[in-house]
Amino acid sequence: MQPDELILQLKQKNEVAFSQIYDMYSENIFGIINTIVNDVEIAEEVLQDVFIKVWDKSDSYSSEKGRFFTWLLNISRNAAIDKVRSKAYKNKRKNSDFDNFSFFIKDDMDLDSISDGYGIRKFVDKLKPMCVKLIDLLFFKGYTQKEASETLEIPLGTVKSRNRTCLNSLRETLE
Amino acid sequence: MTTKEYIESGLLELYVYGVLSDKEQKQVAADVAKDAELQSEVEAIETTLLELSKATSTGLDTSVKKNVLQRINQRSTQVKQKVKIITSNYSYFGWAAAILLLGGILWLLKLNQDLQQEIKVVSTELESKETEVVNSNEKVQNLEELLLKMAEPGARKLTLPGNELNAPNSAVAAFYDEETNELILDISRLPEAPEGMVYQAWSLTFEPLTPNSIGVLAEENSPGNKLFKLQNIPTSEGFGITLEPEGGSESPNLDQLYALGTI
Repeated sequence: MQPDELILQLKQKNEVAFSQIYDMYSENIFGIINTIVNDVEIAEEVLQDVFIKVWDKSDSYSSEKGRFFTWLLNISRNAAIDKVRSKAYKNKRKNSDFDNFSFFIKDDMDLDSISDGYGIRKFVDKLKPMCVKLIDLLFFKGYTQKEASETLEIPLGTVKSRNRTCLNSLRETLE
Repeated sequence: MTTKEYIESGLLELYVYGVLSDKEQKQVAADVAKDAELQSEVEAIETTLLELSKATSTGLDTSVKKNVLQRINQRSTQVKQKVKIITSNYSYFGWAAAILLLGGILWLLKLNQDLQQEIKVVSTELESKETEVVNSNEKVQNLEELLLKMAEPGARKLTLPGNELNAPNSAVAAFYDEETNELILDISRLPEAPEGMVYQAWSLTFEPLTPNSIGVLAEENSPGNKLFKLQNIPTSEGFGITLEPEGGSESPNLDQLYALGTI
């Protein structure tokens, strides 16, 4: 469920509501930013800027445009992509093999983790490589259908339905 | 498209990802708002995505949240302070003082304008009074001059008795100075000259009777009190006063003789 009451209070610059919204979404946003910038320190920086933006621009969210989570996603991906394009980031960036979200999900054995992620690992591992790539580009990186079809060299008309099939297989195992 | 087909199309997933065009996003949002089944499908997709994205988090340090809250707290106090200044009582006093000052200035300007107007009226009055004084002084001077003339040793007082027919029981007093050829006439005892008519004085010599006009006794020639000073009087044996049309005549109308006297 979408926290409509909290969102309303956020728009009225209620700091308590803001704090609750931070608690609800910050780990998700942090995960998304980190899959793009691939650096915990930089991801923390970007996350702070994202939530400051959420505070300042909460007026610009409207349910007519879509889900609140989607609005957060767009701000986060854009901020993270801007960061990746910045000169400071290019200087700091180390080479990494982490080229999609699946590398960020912890092993089931990593029980010290404060995240809930450890149960998902085995489901993600069962996904077809094409599914991992599709979900990575569309959801985590915010690619359009056209960009995804060009990158993965699959027909544009199949992007939408393939993505649904991939996400469904994950959904069924999670439910 | 049925609800089932809508769900199967995969459009809702992309809608929650936020990767459709703005127009498509709005269209799907409107469709979802009208259909409870679409609504619950969207929420199921969102739940999956929340779990998936949360699993990618390496765990956020609590200091990050502290930082964020501090930063927004600074912003909101800045905003509050701004509002405070605008609504503070001092600013109302300031506005009130400014309005009072403006009112005061306008009042003073009006007062100044009224006073200027009054000064103008008073100075106009003063001017006319001054003119009156000058006129009176002139009259007094003329009368004084006449008195001096009458008092001169060469001046002889004559009486021109009123004509029985036209001006009974009246007389004209005259002072004649043969040396300076001047004559002063007082016609105050004659009746008021009618409209369009004027008294005219004549110098007379007898055998044969020869009248010479010595002056029209019009109001404007008199310094006041119906006293007239006439100059360049020829050698005369007597003086007469007749009533003539305005401007005077060449020769006297003896029917309208009002006063006549000999030296």
